[in-house]
Amino acid sequence: MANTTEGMTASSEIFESPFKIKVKLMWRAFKENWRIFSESKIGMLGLWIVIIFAVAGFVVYPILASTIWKSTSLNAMVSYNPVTGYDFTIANNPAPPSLAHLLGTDPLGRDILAQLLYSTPREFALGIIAALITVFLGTLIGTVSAFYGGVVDTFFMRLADLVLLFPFIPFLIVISGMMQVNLLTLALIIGLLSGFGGITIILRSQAMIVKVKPFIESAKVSGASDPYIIVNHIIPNIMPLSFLYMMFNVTGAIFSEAVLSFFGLLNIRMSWGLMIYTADTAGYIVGTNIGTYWWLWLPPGMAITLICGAFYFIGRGLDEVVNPRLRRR
Amino acid sequence: MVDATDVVLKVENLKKFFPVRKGVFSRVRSFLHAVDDVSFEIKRGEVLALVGESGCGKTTTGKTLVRLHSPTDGKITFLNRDVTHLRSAVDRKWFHGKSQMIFQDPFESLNPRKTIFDIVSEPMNIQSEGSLKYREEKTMEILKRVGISPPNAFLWRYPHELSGGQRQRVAIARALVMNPEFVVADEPTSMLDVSIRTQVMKLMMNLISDMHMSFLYITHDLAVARYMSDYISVMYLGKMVEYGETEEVIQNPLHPYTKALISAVPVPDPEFKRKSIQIKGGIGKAIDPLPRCRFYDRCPFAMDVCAKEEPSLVDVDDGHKVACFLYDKKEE
Amino acid sequence: MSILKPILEVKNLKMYYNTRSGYVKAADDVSFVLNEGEAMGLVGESGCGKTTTSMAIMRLLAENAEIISGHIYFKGKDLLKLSEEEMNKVRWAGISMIFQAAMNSLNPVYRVGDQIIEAIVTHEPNVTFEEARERVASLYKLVGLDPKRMDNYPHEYSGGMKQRAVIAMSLSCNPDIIIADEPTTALDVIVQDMILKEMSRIQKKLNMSMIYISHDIAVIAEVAEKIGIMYAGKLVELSDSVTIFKKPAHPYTVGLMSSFPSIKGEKKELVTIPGEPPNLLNAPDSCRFAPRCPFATKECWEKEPPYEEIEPNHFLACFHPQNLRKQVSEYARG
Repeated sequence: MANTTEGMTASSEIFESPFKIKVKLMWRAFKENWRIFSESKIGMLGLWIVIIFAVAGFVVYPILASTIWKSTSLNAMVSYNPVTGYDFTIANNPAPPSLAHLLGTDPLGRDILAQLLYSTPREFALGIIAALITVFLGTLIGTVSAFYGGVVDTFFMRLADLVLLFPFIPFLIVISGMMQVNLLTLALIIGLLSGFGGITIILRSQAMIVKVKPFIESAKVSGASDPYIIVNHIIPNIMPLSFLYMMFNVTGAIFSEAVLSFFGLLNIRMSWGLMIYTADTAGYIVGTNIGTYWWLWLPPGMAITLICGAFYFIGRGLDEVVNPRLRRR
Repeated sequence: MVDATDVVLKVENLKKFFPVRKGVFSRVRSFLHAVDDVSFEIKRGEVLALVGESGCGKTTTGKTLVRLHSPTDGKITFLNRDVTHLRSAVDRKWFHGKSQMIFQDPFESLNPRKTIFDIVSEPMNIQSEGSLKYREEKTMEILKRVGISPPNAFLWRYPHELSGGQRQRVAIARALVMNPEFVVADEPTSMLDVSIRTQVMKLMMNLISDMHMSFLYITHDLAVARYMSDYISVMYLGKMVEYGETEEVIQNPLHPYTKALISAVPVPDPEFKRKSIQIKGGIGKAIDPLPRCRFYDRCPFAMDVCAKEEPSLVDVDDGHKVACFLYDKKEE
Repeated sequence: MSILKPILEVKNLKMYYNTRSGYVKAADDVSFVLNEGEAMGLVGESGCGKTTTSMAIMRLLAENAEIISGHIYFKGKDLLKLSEEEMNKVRWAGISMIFQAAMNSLNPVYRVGDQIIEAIVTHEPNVTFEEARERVASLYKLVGLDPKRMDNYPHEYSGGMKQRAVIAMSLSCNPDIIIADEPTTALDVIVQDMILKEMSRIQKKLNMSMIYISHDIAVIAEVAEKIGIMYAGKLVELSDSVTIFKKPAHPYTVGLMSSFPSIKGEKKELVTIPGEPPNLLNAPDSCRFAPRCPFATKECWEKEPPYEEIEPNHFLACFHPQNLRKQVSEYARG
């Protein structure tokens, strides 16, 4: 790794700069892996769902918010604001889908579609930040405990057992009572908790397999230090698996957020879980109301299911890239 | 330039024991005597073959010498410096810069996520030797020498894009890139196909004589050892049972185990009828061995004395050493 | 020698693997005859098609394997035309196989004896448990194992004992032919020697036919009367073992012989065959050894040498079958 940075300055006539070559190699590896991934139907389905949501949340919503949904002097109100909006032209809220509000309005008179789109980037951020923290911690701890073994290993593995047995939701209920949990704090808590938990055990066992390979001994014979071996040999070999588990963790984080919001435990302005919570607390997800006021719970419910499913599907597709045994010849 | 008959590596009474637990709740500590009281020396440009069956301690000896294991007891002297313990970082750097190892499996000894350049230049990288340009030139040079040509066509490939023979050449290049004084090769050709094996053997022979290295060649194949080495040392259950010049040991084996081993090697000649020496049973494990000859149970010539004492390695004929009471003149 | 009666005849067998990138010509136009009571050896490097050929004989084919053409006659019946059920009867009882690394294929949670009994009972449903047990005991004696060890688990056996047990299992249904794929590769020299002797003794005692498959020409020289040399999916030379060793005609055979280190006799200079075996994917219709052959001419690069009987019982696929032993030194330089 060290030579890539030096490579920028020192290059002879025979060589291209190693840095450029590395980029080319990475591109080639990416193309090859993409070819395998693209053959997995389930993975592609997941990817498409994620892309559609991403476009809706990151592109369509800002455009809509700054054009059609913008408060003008004509309507003189913020009828499409996902948090504070209210459409005075509608007599009864929640109102069923109409041309003005494609997915209807919620009990407080806010536009459902606007809420849905507004939440999308936040859900992404939550899922990905939590997953990144999880994977970073899991990879580091898993590798270190596998490599050093002994007391370090025992400590982290018992800690992982503890975290796995930990009542997650009650813990968050307590935390949310003690402090204001916003989206970022939630991502941090989920990331930390799952980073010390299950993923560590999986990545540790993978690191154990890599640890005994002759190429590790080969590096030791050349005098490599322990951190050098961990960073240069073990981590690159478990990275694909980490990346795979990251996809599953995104699903987990988004799902946890939905559950907590549904219980009204989070201090966030708007999310899919919160949309269902609003409908529920106002008494619209009870008895026959469920069928009548379907637009209150179906869109956020679908969105949660689809995005969680999509990241899981991507994970399944990546599984074929990471585990050559799953590939069809 | 140092004298050609300079002793590079001297091993005295090397021991490596591994603790084994007898049962889950057992408090009694037992030890597997993987290497037990082994002494030898290797001179510059000399190849010593360590021969024996699996589990005889030959690989453990090799790994202990390059410090993948730390010795339980004994003394290792490398270029007149005591390297038994390597306590200081300076000593370690010095030693690891001058000793290397080639592994058996060319598919497992190269990191699948590194390019050939990364793999071959890694020893220089670890030892932070030279500039990047220097490392590139050295890598190209050594790849050319091990017969990977043209080197720049292979520099940025990954191990899985190479054939078994090419991989083992790359592994050799990696081991030799820093001009080591001492190299341990652990069955480097046993995973290769016949026609490739001969190529790699010849390559190593040429490199050893060109680069004046001291080589410890670990193999189970006496026929390969015959071609590769100047001296042969036969190991049995952690003990060195015979040592001598290669042709001398092959043509005139003394220890009953060596005789059995040589007689069991198949000969590529259908008209040749071997007389094989039958030995009983199979190889065991040297867990807390009794103080007697370890070959006692299987030896067709076992005597009473063999059950009472351990034979020591004695010189019987001009450097041909054997650890067997059959050749112990005092006993006559 | 008495009159030889062929038991297995492989004729122009072509088996390709159909992969995404094209056909891998794993066994291409392989023909040989195995006689009753004969031990034959197939020698070649990894990927030369020796295991593929044996798998085709057993009709244990990978999913993407295709038999393009050819016949395999076993006692006059074409195995390739049999139904799966009929083939099942031939397997084990007619032709049995000792697979590569078979000693590791013993199931660790069952007693070794029971695993052999199961093999017997599955193939001969009218054999009772007691009869099968008796048969296993006699098989154990035959392969040099103590029948008392029948009730032990595989982990209580040493490597050599496991190999013997696997041999006993392959003998359990009194087959006419045993195919042994690298039977001793994972074993130590002394154990290998014992196992080879044992197999050779049993084969002679039961007057069985045997096909040994190995990359180790020395091992084959020990046990086989007839040797086939395979290279890159082709059988390039086939003859009795003495001819193969004393008068090899194919350049590859010559190279293989002289590149093999021997412990006996004088220490001869080892000869290397340059280059590496070719990729069998879409292999060209020319001599596959031509790129590595010092005697290759234009002809070799253009067409495939026919597989012909150059003298009685000596088959060869080469355009330049001269007395090559003399040219070995030239080979070393080439």
